[in-house]
Amino acid sequence: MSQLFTIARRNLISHRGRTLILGGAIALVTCLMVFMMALTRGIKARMIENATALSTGHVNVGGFLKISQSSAAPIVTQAARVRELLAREVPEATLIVDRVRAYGKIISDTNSIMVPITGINMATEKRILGGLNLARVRDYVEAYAPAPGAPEAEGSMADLEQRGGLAIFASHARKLKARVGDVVTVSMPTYRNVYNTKDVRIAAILQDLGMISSFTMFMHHEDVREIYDMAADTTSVFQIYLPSLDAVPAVEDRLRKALSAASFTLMDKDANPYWMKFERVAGESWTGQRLDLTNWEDETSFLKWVLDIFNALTFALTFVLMVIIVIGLMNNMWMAIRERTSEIGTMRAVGLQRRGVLVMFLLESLLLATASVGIGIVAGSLLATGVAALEIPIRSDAFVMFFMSNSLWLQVGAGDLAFTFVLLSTLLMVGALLPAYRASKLEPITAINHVN
Amino acid sequence: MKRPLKILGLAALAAFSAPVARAALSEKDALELVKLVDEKQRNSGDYASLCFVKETERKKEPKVFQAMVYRRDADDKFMILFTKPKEEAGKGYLKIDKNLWMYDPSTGKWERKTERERIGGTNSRRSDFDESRLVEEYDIKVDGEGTLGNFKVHKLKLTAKKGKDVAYPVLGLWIDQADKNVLKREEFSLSGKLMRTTFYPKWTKKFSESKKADVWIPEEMRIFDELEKGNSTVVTIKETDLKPLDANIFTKAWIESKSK
Repeated sequence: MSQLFTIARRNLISHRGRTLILGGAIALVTCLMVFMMALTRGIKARMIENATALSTGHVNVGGFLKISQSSAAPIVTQAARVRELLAREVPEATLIVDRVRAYGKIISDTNSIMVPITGINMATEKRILGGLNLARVRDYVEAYAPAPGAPEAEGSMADLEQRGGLAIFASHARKLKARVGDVVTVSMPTYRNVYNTKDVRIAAILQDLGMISSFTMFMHHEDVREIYDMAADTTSVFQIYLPSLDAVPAVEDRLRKALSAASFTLMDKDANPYWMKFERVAGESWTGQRLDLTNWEDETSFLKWVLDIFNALTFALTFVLMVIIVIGLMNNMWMAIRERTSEIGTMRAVGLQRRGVLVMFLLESLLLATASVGIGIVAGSLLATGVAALEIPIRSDAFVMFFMSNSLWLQVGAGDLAFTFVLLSTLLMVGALLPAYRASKLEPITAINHVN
Repeated sequence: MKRPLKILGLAALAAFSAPVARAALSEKDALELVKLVDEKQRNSGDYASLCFVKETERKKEPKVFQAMVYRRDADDKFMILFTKPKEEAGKGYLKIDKNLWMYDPSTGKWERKTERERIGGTNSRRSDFDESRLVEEYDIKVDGEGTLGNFKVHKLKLTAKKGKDVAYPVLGLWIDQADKNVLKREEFSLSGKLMRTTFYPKWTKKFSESKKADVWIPEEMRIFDELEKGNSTVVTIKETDLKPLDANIFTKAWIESKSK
């Protein structure tokens, strides 16, 4: 076997021009695949990071209250009892917070926007929301010319610990033409459908985080309760944060059983965000309270298409290039076999079995494939890590929405690298099978007499 | 018998609407007055009218819609069918029981809407086209007397009765002392903020066979958004018909057939 390995290696070296071109092409495709997978993984990581800060816990206990058949309010009654149950049943939770969900109109002096508003208790959510970055003033004020020494950003999320504040994102600020300190009016119907308003001051303007941030604003939970006219022992959702995402299915399952056992009525599992359920719930004939158990994937399912597009793009691109490479490899092997037909005949004449010929050519292909794919993986990983380290800013709003970040973020995953290595090497080996098999079938006498 | 009110301009209305420091109405009189306002507008039979809705939003070109409004007050049924412009034609709102549905002919789908839905995206609500139920829904207090332009008015403050399903919990009404029609209506949010002001510069009356009396109809409503200054809606009601409508008109199928 070692002799065959040596022959394969020497043959690759002796045809180094051909080897370098083909190996380079394989390495390039591998590099591209690794880069695209790192980009997709980066987007997914940002999506989880942003979504779990802005709109969902790892597991959520929300629900709907129907005071009439045609209504549907995102309200959880008996909040204290639910909280107690959650604390008891999920001792491994790193944090359990409750938030108030609302939807209203924000009116500034010049414009208005309809947007979901989340009522938060900043004192308990510092760990989650404290990491959000303030937007630079020039990101939302046209032709901003700061005075010398003026800070780049204004406001503070910590101001939301007091009532009367509102945290918005840069995209909202641009639409509303508002700055920190401006007073805007929040207008929305109470859950009994009576119009209500409250004037609040913009306490912080945060950096955009893609699509998900365009659907989010934060207010003090008591302010939202006041506008929404909510009773004391109510909330909208409990967000549970776990040490690991792997624990999500088990915790969800445990809670479903525990809540049912505690006589809470649960909605059937619906893997969609809560705001997609309003129409369905309003169309159902029941009244009263039903709880809804979801996880972070359910609440961000409306963003899954972005990942699907990147995955599809990665595999489509890689597939097309791989087909070309495999055809190139096969062609390369056909040429090698043709050039070495006499040599094959001689080797067969001195006792090398058909299997030996097959293995010899497959080894050649294996060496080329593994080395090239390996080099491609290393190059792709270095490229992705380098680009991530540069934190290249994304200026276009459309791309920010798509990449869910305002800088290009890539994350190389060991699993992705192993998958790429196995997939590409296997494909290349499969492509080499037919030429190698044909070579092994050559009759020694015919092969020896073959004239190039 | 048309008797359009001669209002020179809404700006003038506001300017001359200073209160007069005397209260001529007792609480009982005020209640009777609002009962009369409801009664004058009550039809109790069927109702159809052609409406023009002009929506003006700040920094945008005004939009004009034409729609047919149908009501069957006895059964609390209500329907709006947009006929113009072309891109809105066929869109319809239908109230069945307590549910308000909207039909979009471009998708062929019905969507459930809240009772507070802005009709056609304008600042008008379904309740603007409905019959008046002020006494049923609000407690009434006298807020003095005054003038509104050239008209002497009774000013009333209305507060929603507990448990009543109303959009605005507090109303201010300016009622013409002469013909007892509402001239101005202010709508406040739960927090007490003024949200909409509506002027009713033209009233007309039509004889109703079902009521066996005249029904008063506001021919024009000028709705001003007080939160978003500069946004306004003008609703003009024409060709009101109080004759009985077809029995099966208030159905999804009827609207869909008109949308084809």
